[in-house]
Amino acid sequence: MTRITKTLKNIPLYVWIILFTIVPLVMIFVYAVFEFRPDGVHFTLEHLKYVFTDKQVLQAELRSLNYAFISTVICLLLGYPLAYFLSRLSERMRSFLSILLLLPMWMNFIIRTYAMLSLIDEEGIVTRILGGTMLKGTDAAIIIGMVYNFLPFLVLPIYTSMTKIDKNLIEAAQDLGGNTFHVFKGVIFPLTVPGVVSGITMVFVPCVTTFVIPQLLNNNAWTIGKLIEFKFISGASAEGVDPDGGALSFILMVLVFICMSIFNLIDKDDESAGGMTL
Amino acid sequence: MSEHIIDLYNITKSYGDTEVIKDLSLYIRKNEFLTLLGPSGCGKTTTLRIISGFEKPDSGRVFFNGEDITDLPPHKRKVNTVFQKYSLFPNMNIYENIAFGLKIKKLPENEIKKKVKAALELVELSGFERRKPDSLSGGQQQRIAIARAIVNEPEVLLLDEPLGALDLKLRKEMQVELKALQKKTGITFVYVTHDQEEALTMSDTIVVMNQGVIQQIGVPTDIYNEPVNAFVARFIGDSNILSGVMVKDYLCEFAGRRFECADKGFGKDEDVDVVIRPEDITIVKPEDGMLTGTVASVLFKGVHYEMIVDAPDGFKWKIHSTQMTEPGTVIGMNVKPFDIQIMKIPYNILTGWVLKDNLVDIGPVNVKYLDANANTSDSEYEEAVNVYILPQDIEILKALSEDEPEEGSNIVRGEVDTFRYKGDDYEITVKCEDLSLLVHTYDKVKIGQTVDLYIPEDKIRVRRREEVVEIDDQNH
Repeated sequence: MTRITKTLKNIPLYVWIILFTIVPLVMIFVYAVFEFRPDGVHFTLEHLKYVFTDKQVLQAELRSLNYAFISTVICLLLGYPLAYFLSRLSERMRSFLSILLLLPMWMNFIIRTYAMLSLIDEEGIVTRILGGTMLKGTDAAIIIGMVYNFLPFLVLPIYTSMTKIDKNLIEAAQDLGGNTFHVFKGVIFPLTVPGVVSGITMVFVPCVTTFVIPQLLNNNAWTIGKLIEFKFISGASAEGVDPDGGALSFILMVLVFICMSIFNLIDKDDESAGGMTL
Repeated sequence: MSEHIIDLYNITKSYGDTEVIKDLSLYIRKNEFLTLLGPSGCGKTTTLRIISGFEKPDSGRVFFNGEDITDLPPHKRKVNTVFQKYSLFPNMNIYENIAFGLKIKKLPENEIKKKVKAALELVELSGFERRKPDSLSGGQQQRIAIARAIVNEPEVLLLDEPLGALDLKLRKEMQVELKALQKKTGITFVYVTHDQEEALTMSDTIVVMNQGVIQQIGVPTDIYNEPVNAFVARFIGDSNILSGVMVKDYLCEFAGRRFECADKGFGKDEDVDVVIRPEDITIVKPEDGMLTGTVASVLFKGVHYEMIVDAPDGFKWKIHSTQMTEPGTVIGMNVKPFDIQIMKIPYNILTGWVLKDNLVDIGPVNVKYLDANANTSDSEYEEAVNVYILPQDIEILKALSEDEPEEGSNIVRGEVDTFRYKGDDYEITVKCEDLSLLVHTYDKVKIGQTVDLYIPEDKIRVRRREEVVEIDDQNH
């Protein structure tokens, strides 16, 4: 009986997962291997083959991973110290500053990116400050755009894991003779690794998949997100949806899944190794 | 045993408006087991944290082996702490936890191994090196926390209610083990607890604290048998506390009759508090008893029965006895002189000058007094006398009169200086020019508020100096 009621209780969850995860995933796959034409539905592996062999697609994949990797590293270098100093402030100052940190996120993502564009285009302030060097259209523009947009997603999970650290642990480390460096290396950093991993995930995934940032800030760079967007929307013809888009989306998801598995492996490794080596 | 390892001089500490430690001075001797005992909020943990360096005193100095360490950060002090909630590092295994301090000291790896092994043996948890803290029980985690601290061979080990989270049986076992550990290692232990039984069991010296002030320092038997005030008597064990009058040395009056007692050195007819422990009262036949009463209730407590006995004057006596007496029985009660503990009441003791009969100058104002025992009628002009006023006899007047209080109205105007909640009433001090008066009141007042105090003339006791057996310094 308990098992039945348990199953019943979980029905909303199952419905949710089926409607919003399973069905869309299947649809993507269906679009990747079937062609919907006026004369009927045809099964084909052409599009998957295209995704795996086309030079432009492979380049776009590499470029996307490259942008995402550099942006995530920069976010980490900026975000970790930021989270650390934020967590050490007084409670009132902390909540005030974390609101300031989140404030830009209340503005629409595309509008923020347009605003950034206006800073770095021909007439932009940044361009003028740099003496006419226009960032628009460069790789740097994309990376700046990504870091600017996604940094808070990295700061917040790290900040949360930092504030969750029991103050007594820090005092215990100091009591045992640890200076600021020992305390950080032995206690604070190991205990914030889960926050770092989820922060990396929160930044890396949208960086790989975004199409707005490259489209607005450097339209010459073909990233995989832009390619999908092109296939689905800009490239959509009267004949219907381009199945290449489905295949690309599918392959992008596989790519992200592989990257995340690697990150989680690092997280687990760190947990089992645990301690510190001074 | 006599060499001091830690000296605290005139420590004060406030958090915002709350003064947690007031002018505390204390020394801790080498190799002793000293316990800071008191209710929560009494300042005991803050005192410990001042020794460990996690709190900086607002004023006062901390000395370690004669060296001023007040400004030394925690990681440079030669003390280690066992924290209340163990605080083991969850990201490290047991070996790494215990080795943490040694690795910082950059000891060679094989020496670290040896010391960790010895420390684990000491707390009887050998073989736990590879375990993670969260796989251990509370008692085991606490042992690891102790091992992690003593492996550094501190000269002083600070323990902040380390057994608070353990169940009663385990706590009793650990008390014995801790005491044995302290004897074996010879490390000075400074132990913080609110559990009086724990303090009495383990300590060489007990420091009883309340509201940031040390109430009494002594060996456990002294603290129990000779509490210096009602707070200590109530806090350490059960007790009967009565109001009494010290008739003369070795003679005290309470519960409607006079008793021989073992105390002396009080003023003539000084009001005192009398403490009698429940186990010090013997039950006899009504006709043989110094006091009589009717047994109201009996509770079996394991080793003894706890009885509540109604006395004719309304006082409820608590008696511990191995002998069962049915409720409703009229009994006699006897108590030996040695078991009657006399305690001073915190009087306001002021210096006054008699101006004329029944008018005394206490500084800011002259007050009238009515005291049949004053014996000041033949006093010389402006003779210095002691003026006694009980804190509960001073009234705070509701409405503040527009004008300065009239001469001879026995009203003193002052400003509230400190304010403390004492359980059922408030204890405040009021500053009137350079005079500071202790007042007990049920009314709430604010610090800095101007108040008018009325001192009823029949509540003022005036004594000529030569009659005062002991000049008291309890003037707050």
